[in-house]
Amino acid sequence: MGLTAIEKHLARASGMASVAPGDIVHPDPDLVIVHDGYIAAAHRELGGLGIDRVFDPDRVVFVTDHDVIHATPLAAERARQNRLVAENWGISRFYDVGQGGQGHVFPMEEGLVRPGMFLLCYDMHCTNFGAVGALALRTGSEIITVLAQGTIWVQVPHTIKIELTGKLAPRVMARDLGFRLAADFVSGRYGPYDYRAIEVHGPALRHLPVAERIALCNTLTEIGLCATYFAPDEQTAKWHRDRGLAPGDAIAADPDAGYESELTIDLSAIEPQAVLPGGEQTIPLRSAELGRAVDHAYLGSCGSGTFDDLVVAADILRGRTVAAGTRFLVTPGSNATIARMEREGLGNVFRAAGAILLPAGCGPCAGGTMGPLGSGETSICTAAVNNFGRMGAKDADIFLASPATVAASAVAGVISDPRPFFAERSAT
Amino acid sequence: MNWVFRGRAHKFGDGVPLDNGFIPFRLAIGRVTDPQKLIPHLFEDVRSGFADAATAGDVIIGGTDFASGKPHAQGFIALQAMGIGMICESMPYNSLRAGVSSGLAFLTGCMGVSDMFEDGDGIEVDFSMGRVENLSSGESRSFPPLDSSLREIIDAGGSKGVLRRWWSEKQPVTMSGDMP
Repeated sequence: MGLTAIEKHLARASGMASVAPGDIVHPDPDLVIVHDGYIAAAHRELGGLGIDRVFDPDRVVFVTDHDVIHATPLAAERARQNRLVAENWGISRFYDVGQGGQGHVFPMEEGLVRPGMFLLCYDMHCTNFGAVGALALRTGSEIITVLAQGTIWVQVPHTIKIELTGKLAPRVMARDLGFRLAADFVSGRYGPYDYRAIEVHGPALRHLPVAERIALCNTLTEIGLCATYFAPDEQTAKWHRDRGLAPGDAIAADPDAGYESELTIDLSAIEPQAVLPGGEQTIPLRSAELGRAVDHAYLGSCGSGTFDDLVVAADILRGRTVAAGTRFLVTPGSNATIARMEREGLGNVFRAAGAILLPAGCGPCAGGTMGPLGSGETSICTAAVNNFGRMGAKDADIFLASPATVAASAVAGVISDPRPFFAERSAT
Repeated sequence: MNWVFRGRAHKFGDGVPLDNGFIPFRLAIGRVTDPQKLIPHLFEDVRSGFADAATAGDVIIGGTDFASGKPHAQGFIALQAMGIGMICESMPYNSLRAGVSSGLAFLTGCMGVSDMFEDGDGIEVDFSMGRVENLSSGESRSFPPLDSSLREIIDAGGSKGVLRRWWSEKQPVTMSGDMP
């Protein structure tokens, strides 16, 4: 039996000809990424064990993205500690404040993360990198083992194959698909999903650009899948061509790869979704509280901060204004995206509409260190999660939705279906 | 470490979460890692008085989707420090990682183990071999033990124990035994 793409990645990184689900391997990462929230802690933990260096400073990347404006003196002190750690360990690739941007996004835009690469990363949303054919696994606090020894034990996961057919309707986005799939996995509809890797195949990929793939990888992460993977194809090549980047090494599944299960999804049947506050329930947007006033709308961060996402929102905002009583915060995923927004006039569209442009990074989703919610407020946003208290007050309600739904709701001031906004535009 | 545990079985059901199941969430989010501060609160949300009733050599019997939710290791740290082991029918992968990293003696994937025990039965488990015996009923079964590479981590006291040992062995001979 052949190998899935996930198994091929792990076999290559482990120096083995083949691996099978359940095997314990010790893969050698091409890159290790640690985010600002754990840099000083990792240094402290390793220092406590007497370990005063990392395995290879040139393969370690530090990113400041969770707290880029140091909203408190404590945050500023932690950032200072991070800089000292980078200097102490000799980490030259430290994307600090005002540099790269959101650490699950800009590495793909700058070619730091390329097809064929294997990564071990502190933060769970490193799964984004599957969008360009890289495999990244989350370690959490076990990153200290990777930093010291250059590897860690990994169990080879089972792989599930998802075949995508059809085409998403206008203003229905990959995030809607991801919300629906995640909820259906959790309901048990597709069998076991804990620590499974997903490989996405099918004719619909022709119409699914990398930006949308990032959103899908991102949205499926929180339920406990370990990876979502797209083998490089023409859309991936376009992503790299547009940015003047080399294409990297394509790793794809063998034709006779062994999948734990296979399912087919018709994209044309997907409609806009809403994840209700608390994150336990996902329902079609039409069944949600359409018309409920929103105090806070927020677009961007790791799952929806690409240029393409911002174009979707700008198309809705152009010539319109954010509703009185609603604040609309926009967090581009990277400095490169901010630069392109300004070059192509999107910055002015957002500003003219009354949106607030935040620096590239995680934005309010990182614990509400900026743009938080007050008591009793309602938000609709593209955050990664919406458990109570995620972005400030514990009694605030956070709805998750697609960039189109968030932008439409910001304009209307109430939770809104984005499709009429598109129809209005088409009619003019 | 001694992989054979002999004591009493503490039987729990399916889906007992780490947060507010094994240990109160406030201790997890507070990143408390001192076992002595954690032990009095073990299972207090689902079985008050557990810490006083349990002793070294005892074994937790869990059902399916045991130790679920965010993989906060505080409950495992406390069990390991008390010398208590764990057997369950299934647990999430990230919880398995946290168990190994904490140096906890445990078995997972032991379908039917819940049916072998009543709460309080005598139990003997060889975690290195996967042999489980109910000393009260006399029933004995074998389950697959954890992979030997994971047992090595547990044997070293968890992932920090591995790092401590690894780093110590890397130092020049004159430095051995004199680690800061």
